[in-house]
Amino acid sequence: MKRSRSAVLATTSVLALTLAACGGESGDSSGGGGGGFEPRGDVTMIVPFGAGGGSDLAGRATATMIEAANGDVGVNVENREGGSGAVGYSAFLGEAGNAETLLATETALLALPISGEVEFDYTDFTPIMKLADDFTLMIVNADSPYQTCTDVVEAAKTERIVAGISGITGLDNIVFTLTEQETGVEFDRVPFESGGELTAALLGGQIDIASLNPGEIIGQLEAGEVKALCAYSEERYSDYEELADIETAKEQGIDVAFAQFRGVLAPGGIDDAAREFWIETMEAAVETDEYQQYIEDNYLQANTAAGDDFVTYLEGNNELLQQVLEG
Amino acid sequence: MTGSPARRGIAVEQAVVYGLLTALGLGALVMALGFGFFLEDSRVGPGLVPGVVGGLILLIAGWELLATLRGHRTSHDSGLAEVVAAATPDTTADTTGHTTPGGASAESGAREGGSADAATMSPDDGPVDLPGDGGGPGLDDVDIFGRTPKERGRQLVAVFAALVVACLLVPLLGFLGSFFVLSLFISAVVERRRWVPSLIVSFLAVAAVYGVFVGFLGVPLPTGLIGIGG
Amino acid sequence: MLDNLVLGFSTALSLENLLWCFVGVLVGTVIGVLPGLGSTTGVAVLLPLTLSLEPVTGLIMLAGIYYGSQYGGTITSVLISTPGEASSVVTTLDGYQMARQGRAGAALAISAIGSFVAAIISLGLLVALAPPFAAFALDFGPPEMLAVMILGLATIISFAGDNRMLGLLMALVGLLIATVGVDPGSGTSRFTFGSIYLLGGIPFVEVMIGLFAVGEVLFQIRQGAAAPIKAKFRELMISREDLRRSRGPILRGSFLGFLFGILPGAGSTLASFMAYGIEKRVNKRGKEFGTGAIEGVAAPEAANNAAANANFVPTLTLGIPGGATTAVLLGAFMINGIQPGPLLFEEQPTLVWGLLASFFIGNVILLVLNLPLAPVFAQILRVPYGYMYPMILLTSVVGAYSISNGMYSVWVVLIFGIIGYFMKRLDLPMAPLVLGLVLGPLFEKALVQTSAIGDGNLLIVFTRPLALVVMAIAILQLAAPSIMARLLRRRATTRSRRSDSADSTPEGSTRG
Repeated sequence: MKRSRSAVLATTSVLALTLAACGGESGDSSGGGGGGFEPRGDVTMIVPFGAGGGSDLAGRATATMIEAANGDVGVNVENREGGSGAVGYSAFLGEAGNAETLLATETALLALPISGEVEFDYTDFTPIMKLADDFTLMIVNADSPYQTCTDVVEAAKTERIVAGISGITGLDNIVFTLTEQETGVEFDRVPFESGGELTAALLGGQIDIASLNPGEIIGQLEAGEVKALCAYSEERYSDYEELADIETAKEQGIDVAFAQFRGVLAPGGIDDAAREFWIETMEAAVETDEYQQYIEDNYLQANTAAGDDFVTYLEGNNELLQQVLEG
Repeated sequence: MTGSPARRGIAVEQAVVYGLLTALGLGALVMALGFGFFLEDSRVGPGLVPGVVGGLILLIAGWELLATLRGHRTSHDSGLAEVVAAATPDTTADTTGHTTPGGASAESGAREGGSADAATMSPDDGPVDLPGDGGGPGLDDVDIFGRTPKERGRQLVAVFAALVVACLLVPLLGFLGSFFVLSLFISAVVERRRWVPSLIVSFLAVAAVYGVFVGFLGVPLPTGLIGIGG
Repeated sequence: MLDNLVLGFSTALSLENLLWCFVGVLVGTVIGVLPGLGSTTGVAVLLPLTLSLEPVTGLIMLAGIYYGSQYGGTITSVLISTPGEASSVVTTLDGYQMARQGRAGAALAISAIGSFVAAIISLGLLVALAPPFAAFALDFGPPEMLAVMILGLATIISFAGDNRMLGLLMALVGLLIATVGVDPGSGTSRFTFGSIYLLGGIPFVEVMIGLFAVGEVLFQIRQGAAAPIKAKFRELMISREDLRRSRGPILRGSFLGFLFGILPGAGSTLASFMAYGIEKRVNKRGKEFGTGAIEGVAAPEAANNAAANANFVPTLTLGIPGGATTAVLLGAFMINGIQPGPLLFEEQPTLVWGLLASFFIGNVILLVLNLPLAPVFAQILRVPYGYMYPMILLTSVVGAYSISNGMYSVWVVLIFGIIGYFMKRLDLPMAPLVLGLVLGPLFEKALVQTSAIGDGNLLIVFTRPLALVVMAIAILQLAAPSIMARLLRRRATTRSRRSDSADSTPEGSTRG
């Protein structure tokens, strides 16, 4: 019941009545000819989080770049928030076979199944394109005695270091856990709920360290209220003047790099023509100015991976996450 | 002997609600024990807040349940309820001790009868059924359309059932479609208005909702298999 | 600073910005009126529309929606006991009673005036003292927030009505409902019974629509149709006496609201509850609260508006959202390529000061728009309830749907509609439940964080001076209510006896 309703909901949301009447079957019939796939009418981009957040920004930006890359396609963003993304992904699971629905995906795609509360995992969907990596920086208050991440690790051997995290499945908890596994020290955790709360706690001296996305902390960083000790990324943020001087954790001898990815999923069970269409569309989309703008505004690293490469990436990332979250 | 049938009905409902809450508190407490009250280093765990809250609910709701079953209500009568009681003539009769059954709504039958042998009520068995709003008819009265409490009870059930049915029909008729039917049903059947104005009002209401929510705010309301609105 | 204000007003007073400010305020009011669509949803839904505008213009419009919807939420709270916003829940207590007594116009007018005064006071504080206030807010770490939450929970005493036990019981039920979902500390899922919908907790706005809007409709059906409320137009107007009585509550509410508003996360809902609770204690008419006392409308309305503005203190000075709506507004900054943070004032003076100046202008527009409209809105009550309730049900359900774009929200509304009906029928107080529901997650988060910071020792609350002060106030309120109440009452009775005799003379005009 629920499935058929939401399938209809997504495909026909903006269509005229006549089209809507048979919208339920469009997913199966559209690419059936074996030839080219063209979405019929507007496409829905599900954002499994609320408006205004990072996932929403990504979803809206993706919609804009798809429209810029292919003038024939209109994209409507639809927020389906709830259950830390579980509601949106589960609704998307019900869209199987409907190639006129996409989803703006991120690490919750992997973290939710590992937590064991949901019925899907990433193999239930069709990965289209990884758009970017959002790494984190280890941040301390400007008054902090530490200058590098190594200093923090050394200090943690003898004293209590309080780390703020934004939740058990948060990227920050993952990099801290990886750091602990790598170096054998232990950080004390205090759970918060957002980057904003962590920033406030850092500034107020409630916690010693936090691990934040550059986009979340750049304002404080530029104002000199906090300092970044290292970047948990493969490479330095050399594209960004204001971040280029930050050494990576690897440079400082801590072999940890972990990103939150941003990407686009299509539902499972779509035919090859539709999959090809979306991969080609997204490959064109990442060439647009809109894409560049999105990357720069949010201080992301433009590491893309299309189709099968995205799947390979997800496999590796999933194993790593499993180690951290279950171990 | 307790109060009027309607009042006795309230007491039964009260007992049921407190019973449910007692069970809720107990359930929460038991489940919370499973979550664990504390983590290592005696840090607050996932079960602490629900456990303590559940335990307190168990205690208070259990206490209220006992009080209700014994026919004693705790300090529930004072202030507002009395003010309203004084302002509503028929129910004033209730509290001042008329012993003749029937009263204002005798025609509605003894089961839903208006006043009752309030004299036998214990002094702290206050007019609990009086809600805090002035002006409206009391629970036992006939309203301005001449509806008896029994009819209003049926109306209530009809409206709520219709709401549930309308929600279940959304996948078939679409959101606006099924709520158009709901609005029509309430106006024409429950409120017994003529069909033509009911149709017009329902249509206008749904059109307004469509304009604001779909047209302006872009909310993707489900269209259903028939594909109305959206 | 004067330069900045001049810059701000010259920006905000441009024709285009004025126009969009007006549009924002108007649209905001409408959105606030619709159940389910609060300021957060309103701003989020309309955010894409503003992208075609200049950044400053877009933000001015979004801010207009923000405070416009705060006021819109009040209108339905008063008229049909359906709070459009969590922060207007308290307004239903006395506002709706006033409406039932034919004084809806006065209730609406006093909220417009109270909101306006609060907005101006809090904006003054915001413009003059934002940085020191922001620094003060940062001192509120988890232990201090825990103390604030305990203080908030202690105000339940004010909402419990005559039976404190029942009030406490309802607050506990609210707290229990708030624990559904993933626990803030360990990530354990609680009471979800395998449902993904319950993972994120029971959604607050849906609960509110159910309890208040649907619950009230069902209750009214059972209760039977009363004659429509017919009040003379003159009675709908606010009297000089009303204004005099509201002066103190508005001022107290404004300052209290501002204080709670600058604390990130505490928000305007807590502010309005606290303002009502404290006003009830302090005011000589405290006993009349809940029966349609105008002070019971003025204080929380002033407080929630002041808090809404104060939310901008951490948002603008630190780039840390003060509440849900300001978080979305921060998102709007980001979409426009503006980086919020401590440098915002330096890097974007036109934008920041233009925005702040537009708050002043927007609030003037709001007052001018709503003061004369208050008696007009109140005419809605002349519509027989039989015509009105299908509309209330329809908008409740559509509003609920639009929160999550899913039927789940609608079902939550229906379930809590039934619960609300029985609560009204059995005279169980709703405000404590809402307070418990709002404070529950905040309280538990602060508790978990405090225990983590203290390494398992919650007593660190008593080692932090600020937390200690807040705790002392909370304990005073809890442990010594009878002493406090007796002291206050003795003073109040002598005073009110004196002023009652003054009140009884018509309009005071004969006292020359």
